[in-house]
Amino acid sequence: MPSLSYLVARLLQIIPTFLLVMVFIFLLVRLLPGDPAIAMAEAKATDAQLEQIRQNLGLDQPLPVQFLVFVKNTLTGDLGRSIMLKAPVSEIILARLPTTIFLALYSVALAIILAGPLAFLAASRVNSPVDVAIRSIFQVGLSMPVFYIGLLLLTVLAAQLRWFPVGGYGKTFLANLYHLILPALSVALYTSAIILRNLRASLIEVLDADYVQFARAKGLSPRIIMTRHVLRNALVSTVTLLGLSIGNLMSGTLVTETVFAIPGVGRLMLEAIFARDYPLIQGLTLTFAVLVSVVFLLTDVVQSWLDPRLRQS
Amino acid sequence: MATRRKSIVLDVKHLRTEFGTRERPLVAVDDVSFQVGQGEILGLVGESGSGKSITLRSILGIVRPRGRVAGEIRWNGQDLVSLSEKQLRRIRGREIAMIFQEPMSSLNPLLPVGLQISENLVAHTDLDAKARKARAIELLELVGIPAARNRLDDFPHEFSGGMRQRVMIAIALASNPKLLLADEPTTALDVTIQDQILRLIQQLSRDLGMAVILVTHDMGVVAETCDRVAVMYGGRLCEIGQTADVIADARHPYSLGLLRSIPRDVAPRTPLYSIPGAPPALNALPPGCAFSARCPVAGAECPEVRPGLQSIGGLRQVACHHLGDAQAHFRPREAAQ
Amino acid sequence: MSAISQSHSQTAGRLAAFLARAFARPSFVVGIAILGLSLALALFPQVFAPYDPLAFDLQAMQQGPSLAHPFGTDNFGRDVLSRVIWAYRVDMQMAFFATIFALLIGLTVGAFVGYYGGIADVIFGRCVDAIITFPFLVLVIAIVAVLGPGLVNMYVAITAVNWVYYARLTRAEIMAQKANDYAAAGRVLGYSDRRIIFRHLLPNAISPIIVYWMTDMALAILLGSSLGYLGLGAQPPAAEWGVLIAEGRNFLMTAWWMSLMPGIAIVLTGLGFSLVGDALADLLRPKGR
Repeated sequence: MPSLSYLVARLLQIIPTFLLVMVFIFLLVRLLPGDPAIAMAEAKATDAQLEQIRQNLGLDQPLPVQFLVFVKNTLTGDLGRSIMLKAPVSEIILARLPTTIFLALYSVALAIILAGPLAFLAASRVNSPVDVAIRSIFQVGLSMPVFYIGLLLLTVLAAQLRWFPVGGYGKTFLANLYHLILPALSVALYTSAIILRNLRASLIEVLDADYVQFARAKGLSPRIIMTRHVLRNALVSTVTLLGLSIGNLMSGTLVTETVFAIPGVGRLMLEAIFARDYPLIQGLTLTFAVLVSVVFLLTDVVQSWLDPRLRQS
Repeated sequence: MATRRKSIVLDVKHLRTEFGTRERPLVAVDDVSFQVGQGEILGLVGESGSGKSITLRSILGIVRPRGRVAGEIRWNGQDLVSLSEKQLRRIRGREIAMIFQEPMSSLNPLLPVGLQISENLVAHTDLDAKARKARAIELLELVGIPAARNRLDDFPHEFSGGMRQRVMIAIALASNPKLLLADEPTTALDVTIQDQILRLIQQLSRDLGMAVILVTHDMGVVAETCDRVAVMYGGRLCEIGQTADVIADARHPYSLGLLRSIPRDVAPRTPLYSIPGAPPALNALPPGCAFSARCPVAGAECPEVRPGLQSIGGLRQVACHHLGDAQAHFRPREAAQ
Repeated sequence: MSAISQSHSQTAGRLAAFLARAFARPSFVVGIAILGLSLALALFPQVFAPYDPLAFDLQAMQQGPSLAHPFGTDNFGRDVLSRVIWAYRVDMQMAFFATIFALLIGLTVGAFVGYYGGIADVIFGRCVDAIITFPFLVLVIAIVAVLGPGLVNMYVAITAVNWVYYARLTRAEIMAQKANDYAAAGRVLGYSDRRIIFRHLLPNAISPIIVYWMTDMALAILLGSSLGYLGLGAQPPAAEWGVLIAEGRNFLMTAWWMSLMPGIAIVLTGLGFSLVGDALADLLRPKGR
């Protein structure tokens, strides 16, 4: 297990990056022409309400102070009020976040299920027709935008064949697995292509490694060799890649939520942009930044758990 | 042909390992036969590409890429060539063990050393966890790793090169094998460490009554460590006999050439001898003697007719058509030196 | 004089050898063929498109694929194939403009940061971390949110995020090249830094950047069409594949070809760029690295 000091060091590393992110979000809205207070307020706000907002944001103060106010507000959970939905931003986001996270995790799971066994197959028969076929299929998959895959699945599997529902969101866990399989699959297809490419290359390298030969010479069973020696070593670089492609994953989730009309934070972002709901946009951008940072941190932790060579900081 | 005093533990008969298509195979090991006595250290020496490593792998059945192994390998009353993969697994690591050349890449970098030892024990013994741990410590001490108790949870990269090789030996010895196949165990190490490891192997062989086949390209290593030596070229055996005999009185032109290349008692600035030419490609070997292209005493029939291993007395076997000429060619010069 | 002409013919010879190797690879040939076709369609749509993309034909609304209309017609009776062909112009432009500025900016910044290092490098590093912390698409969308939807704004938004990747790559390459002897030789000869960077280091560092550019163009098409679909990029009634697909969204049950046919163009063109990119990566890989 990586040491506590390692974890703390990693956490501390995030802070300057996070500050930069905050600055960016802070500037995003204030770069707009016009009065930020009007931007942050509802369409028919009264002068008193505008004044309240100005005070809240500290708009009469110098810029650095405004930034501090912004930071303080964020840390205490006050992200403003959504113009379009007329509710506190934090509430809105918290209501929809679980859906998006569920979709994202579901997609990752499907991607691994899809890419994993096929990567094995391809790696154990390098350059055979099977290998070439698998690589070609996934190459084509990489060239398909997520929204297109979603529409394809929607048309073929839902509209024409009626195997899956066209949209909506279920109540129970199992119902959700059923309802969300198509959207999750759309995102998964793209991610699985990336995983396949990397895992296959890792496996080819590992299957040929000396320590695998040594493990065979020790008379270990193929199962143990595969799980303890091959898989674990091949996973190290794939886990890194998975973590780095969280950005991709979130983009895909956003698009998919739009295609399948799922009430998650991705679709909310889009609606907020069209409605010019700046408090919501601000809050959502921050949410995405937090999510991505958490994933990066988790990836680092898992990586250093897998590979002891990385534990010396 | 039998080694006199000790009983034979491994009897390799007409071993042949080939790769590629059946029509035009790449024959890496071609009709190799030898025996290993109990507790004996046999050196297998030759240039790279001579088939020495593949011979070892063929014995254990872990040839890569997939090759076809033919012939007979008698071990403990069984023919290893005819065994199934499952049966071979029971022998690997337990009765016959193997260590490799590169200790850094041969140990799994992600797993602690103690685990890599106890894997072997789990696969081949019934020891419980506590007993396994004790045995692991015992093994590490046996191979000379200080403070063994504390190093069980260390990872390979936390050991130095020589220590890693010792760890590999410890892992190999875990289940008390009767034969150790050592594939160039010291080639990747510093000269001083080389010596230590070779001493260790010798000592273990004596103390545990374990036979060793030591593959190397270095005649010096053979001279120091091995009881008997077999010289290979192009996948075939050239000469085999007691080490002292072969070194003092080599017969095959290739062995003579090899020994000549070792600078011994030469004046400074004497140009060193090296066998002219390069090792042959394994898919372009002549039907006759593999060495004929580079042999200083080759005759017309040498590339066509394969010389068989003939016994020339004193437990020695040589495969050459022109033994007399070889002596004449190499000996007078050495006498002049 | 002869030395210069000699080096010219040398370069020509090397180019010929390179092309020979390139065209020996089936993936390269297929990729170049696709790109060639795409370029032709983009430059001369009027030659290839069977119908006027804007022409309504109320007699022939929502007809499925047929000989007369291989991709079918849309809800206004317009021929989908023609619209897809005319959209090549927009999408190929997108691939180019969404990447070229990022490349130029990233190249310059990366080269300077890689060459001079120091405090600029540290700041650069923090910037990179901050930017790649965001999901690419989300960041682009956020910028578009500020600027407003539209093709040009989309280019700006994408460039604003994308340059970082080119800069990072260039920086790594320049740092590697800087360590070479010929760079030191340049300094000894008294060449100005700018000359060393642009005339000597960059030309040697350029190959991986070109390879990345190819794959980036494939990604740009995916990104651009996604934004078009979402209504944030090209705006209707402009013909762009993503926009076309969005137009067909409501007719999935009745006229699926409206949405699914333009997608074929996206996949095909994206494939073309990635195939060429992959082939170039293999071909340009320096021996023994």
